Order: sequence, then C-alpha cells, then structure tokens
Amino acid sequence: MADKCVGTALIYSGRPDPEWRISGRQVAALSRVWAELSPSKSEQPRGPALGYRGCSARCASGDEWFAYGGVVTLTDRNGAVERRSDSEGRFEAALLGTAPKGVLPARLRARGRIIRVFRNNPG
Amino acid sequence: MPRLTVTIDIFSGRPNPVIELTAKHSREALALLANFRRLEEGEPGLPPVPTLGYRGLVVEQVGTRVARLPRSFRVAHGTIVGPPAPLAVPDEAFEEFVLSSRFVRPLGLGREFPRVVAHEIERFRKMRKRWPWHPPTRKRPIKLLRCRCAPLYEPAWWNDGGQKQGRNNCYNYGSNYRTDTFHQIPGGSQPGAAAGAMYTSLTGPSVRTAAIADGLIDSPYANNRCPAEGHLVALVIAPNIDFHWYRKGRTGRWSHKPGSTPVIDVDNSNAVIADPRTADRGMYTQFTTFMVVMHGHIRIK
Repeated sequence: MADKCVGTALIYSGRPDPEWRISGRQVAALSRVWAELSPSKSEQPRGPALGYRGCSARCASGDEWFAYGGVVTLTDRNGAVERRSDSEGRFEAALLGTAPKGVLPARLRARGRIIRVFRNNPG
Repeated sequence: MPRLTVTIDIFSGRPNPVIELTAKHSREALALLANFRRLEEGEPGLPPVPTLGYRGLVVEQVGTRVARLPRSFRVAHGTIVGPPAPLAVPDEAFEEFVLSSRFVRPLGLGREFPRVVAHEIERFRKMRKRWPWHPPTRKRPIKLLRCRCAPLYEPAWWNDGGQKQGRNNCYNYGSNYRTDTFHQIPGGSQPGAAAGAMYTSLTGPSVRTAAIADGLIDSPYANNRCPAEGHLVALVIAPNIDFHWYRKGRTGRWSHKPGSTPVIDVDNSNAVIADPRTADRGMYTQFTTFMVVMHGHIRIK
C-alpha cells in the first residue's frame, strides 16, 4: 500500500471535515507503522456524537484505513477487513501528523499532542 | 360606483383567471347582489379549508365601494362570504353573469374552459352541503400538541448510509431542508451561502447572522419553548472551530446530525436531550441562540 491517499479527520459537524493529500512517501511510512501493529479482535470503537471521531486515509487503490480509540481498521478494495491494535495511538498520531499545518484546528495539530488532547478533553 | 375585479378561484398551479369589469358591467353585476339577506343556519357554507377545483368568485370593489357589501368577498352559488357575516341572494345570476362567454372568452383559456367551470360549480355545490353554516359560537380553546408544527424524528429516513446521510449536515437536518450538497460544492450546507452572506468567522454572531440571511428567525428568548408556527432549532459554537445545530421535534425532544454521521437523539454522554443548553456538547461549548424555522421560508445552498 504505497499509493497516494486522502486523509480525513472526522471532527466537524457544520463545516466539511478537513481533508488533505497524503504523499506516497507518507503512505509508505504509515504502512511501516501498520506492519508493526499486532492483530486485534476488538470491534472498531465509535467516537462521541460531537467532536473528534477518528481519522481515515482513503487511497487511490481503494484501500482505506480508519483509526480511532486504539484500533486501526484496514478495509481493502475487495471489502476485506483487518483490525490491529493501536493502544498507544501511534498509527492515529502518524496519520493525523500527515496533515499540513493549518488543516486541523490549530491548537490540536501538533503530532502526538492531538491524540492526548482529543482523548482527554474532546472540548 | 366601484369597478369590480373578479377572480375565478379555480386553479392551483396556474394563476387564477381575473376579469376586470367596466363601470357599466360592474353596475349591472352589483345589481344582481342588491337583494341580499343574512345566511341562515344550516344553509350550505364553505369548507373549512380551501379545496382543489372551483372555490367561487373572489370579488374586489375598486374605488368607492358599495357600502352594504365588503370591499372584498367571495360569491359561490348565491352565497356572499365576507366580513362581517355571510349573506345570500335569491339566485345565482351574479355567477352566470360574470361567467358568461363575453367575459370568459377573452381570457383565452380554451374552448373547454366554460364546460369545466360549469362542471366544477356543480361539484362544489355538492361539497358545500357537507359544510352547513353555523353562526360562530364561543368555543373552549383547543389544547394543542406542544410542538405540533415540528418535524417528526425520522432517523431511518436520513440514516441511509449514502447520499442523504453523507451529503447533508447538522444545518440541513436542523432546518429539515435536504440539499445533498455537503462536501459536494463550495458553500454546500453552510449558513448564509444561499443568500451570498456566508458566515465570516466561526463565532455565534457571525453564524447567526448568516442563518438569518437564509430566512431563519432569531428567537433568543424562546427558552426551549416551541413556536406557534414552524419549529425550534438551536445554534451552538465550538469557538473558531465549527458550528452545530439541534432541532426540537414534535414530541418535544431534541435531535441532531453531527456532520455526515447518522441522526441521533442523544448527547455526547448518551443522554436524551431535553434542552441543548444543558446537553453534553463536547467542544461546542458556546450556546448561541434559539432560532425558528418557518417551513418553506428558508433557502440553503
């Protein structure tokens, strides 16, 4: 999975959610983090009604990652689903970290800080 | 002596035909209404709501009016309806006079129109018998449903997992106005965009002003009470981040649609929303205002 993707942070209600392009190089880096995660049998957690609800990377190949709540789900172009544990939020932080400056809310854009702030204080 | 403008109240989609009588013809027509009496209880009245098809002739007196007749009134089968009380004339000569071919033919409504009108007049006559007239009486006020004008809570209709859900946001749902434009076009589903007055900052005043431009009515003192007409919505703000809308449904409960996600009737703590001012709203910490959506009065891009 080294194709170009579009990242989305599911966060807004009224405005369109922020989207950004993820380069092939960034996708390769995400793939490396994904490869290091262990398989998970957990269901994909759902976020709150309002506020941050996870992030995704939709790729030209048809593959899509979705990360939230310590679980990452990869759905491939054929609809096959694979889940891996991301209890430390490494993949989620890496994915949000591919967003260019200014795309995510300013106070939350810093990589690594995003996960902590959103989880601990959705407001 | 007035001149009469007579509208044949018959169409729904097309404009009703209007006949403007000359002074001479107006005088002749009014003479046919001169010998009136009060309508008696039990005589055919009018349906309580307008019906499809012929509904009578709407007569307006232009200029100095005949004092004994209202400025504007309706004539159907010899009954004159207008303030203060309905009247009756002995025959239907007024309608026959106005609907004669010399006035109807110039309207250019086709050869079939007189036959259609004649048929409709008879249909309306039978219908009127179902609504006998009774003098108004003092009635006890009817107890209305608390939010009788509010939209139903129909999550299944919105939550299709496809176009309706994905392309409509909280503003669409709150205003009950589906556009399928969220994420699809610039300004899609955004307050003020349809009026060319989209919000300029993610603050309460800016989004409220934009919504007013779309036709919503600011009701800061609504205090969670449903309006007599239309339905209540609530605007909340995540300062400089986003806005969000809730709507009050017919049962008095609130619901909302966070972005492209499904419609729900609970808050961030999974609690029923009795009042959006006190609900768990996550990052939407600023309650801005209540507003009223008058159905059919608003426009969203």
